[in-house]
Amino acid sequence: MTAHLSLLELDALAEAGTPPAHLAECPRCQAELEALRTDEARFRTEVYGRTLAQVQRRLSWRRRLSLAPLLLAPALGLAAILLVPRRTPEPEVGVKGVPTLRLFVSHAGEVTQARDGAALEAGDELRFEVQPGGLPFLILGAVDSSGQASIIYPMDGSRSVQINPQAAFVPPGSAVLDSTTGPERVFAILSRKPIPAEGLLAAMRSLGAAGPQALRTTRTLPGVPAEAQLSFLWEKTVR
Amino acid sequence: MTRDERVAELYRRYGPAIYARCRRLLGNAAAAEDAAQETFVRAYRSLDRAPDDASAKLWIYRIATNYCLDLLRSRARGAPAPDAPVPADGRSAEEILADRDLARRVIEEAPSRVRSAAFLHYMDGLDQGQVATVLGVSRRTVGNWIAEFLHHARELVSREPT
Repeated sequence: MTAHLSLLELDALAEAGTPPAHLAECPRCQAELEALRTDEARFRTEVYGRTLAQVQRRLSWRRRLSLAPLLLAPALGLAAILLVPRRTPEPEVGVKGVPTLRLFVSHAGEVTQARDGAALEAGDELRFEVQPGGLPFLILGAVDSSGQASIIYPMDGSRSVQINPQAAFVPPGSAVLDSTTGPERVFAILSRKPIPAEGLLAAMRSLGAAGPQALRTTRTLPGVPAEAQLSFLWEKTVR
Repeated sequence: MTRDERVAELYRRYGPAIYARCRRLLGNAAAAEDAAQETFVRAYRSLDRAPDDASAKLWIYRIATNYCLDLLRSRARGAPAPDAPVPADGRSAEEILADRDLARRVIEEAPSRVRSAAFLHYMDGLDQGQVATVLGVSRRTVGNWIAEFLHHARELVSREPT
């Protein structure tokens, strides 16, 4: 028997196409193709109509978030979360403002800007806004009190990526909080050169292993080669 | 066409593939509904700009795979620690990975940076070049991730039962 059909081949067959000879003699591939067709049919007949309005609302919410920094501009002096970064005195690129990290939270349909240390709930949706202050490379990571560290942006999680150093940057998509309780800290690492994720992950894991109190009080990670580290803490609660 | 109409059109066109992908990854219809919404929201801009269906499908595979595997990992955090060894029965890691149920378990316990590549390669049957295209990285990077995953898998299957 030839090799099983790949995802790409099964997808093509689900829509149309001539089945390869392998399909006729392979129960596993037949079952996978049938499951694929069943799931797609279920979406069309049941899921689409039930969930479309929710999707439209969420995309509308994302658009509002992208406008939120402009609407809040007059209040920036008081409302922005400005964490003084470690900076070298002579940047190689032009600087526009001080690097900042802000967090916006959608809870029960209401979008607000969170303060550092805010209590958030499982299911809350988070969006971050980074003002790079002239630094062109960014990577975002988070670590929680269980010691679990992860890269939030970029999505492939391998190294920092280039952004417009002169403009506020909002990573695509939103993060949805899971049910793990306790403190969680996010780090926005800005640099002049791309840095690999491994060092950041290792530093975050070390911090997570040091316990919840260390997570609450540590704003910069040692050994991370960045010109600016911005940090934000929230406490995940269950109500 | 209004924005809502455009969203509805794209959700109708690509929603079935997104839902089926999430269903396969999560193995649960209700969870797949939620994940399909999240994936679509995350992929919307890319889908809106995709020049053709093939390009759109790449975004769907990439975003759904990354999101669902992260979701599985996140849920596993609340469960007991995965100390139970994978039953190797004298088989090598490569032989274990030929069994899809066991391969899924090994993949879910793998480091986050290699999980998507491993799932696309071992569960979805894509070759390393196709995985590189889906994930938007070089083939060499995929090769490195697969090698790292195999190293992890060998350690896992050689772990003695506790």
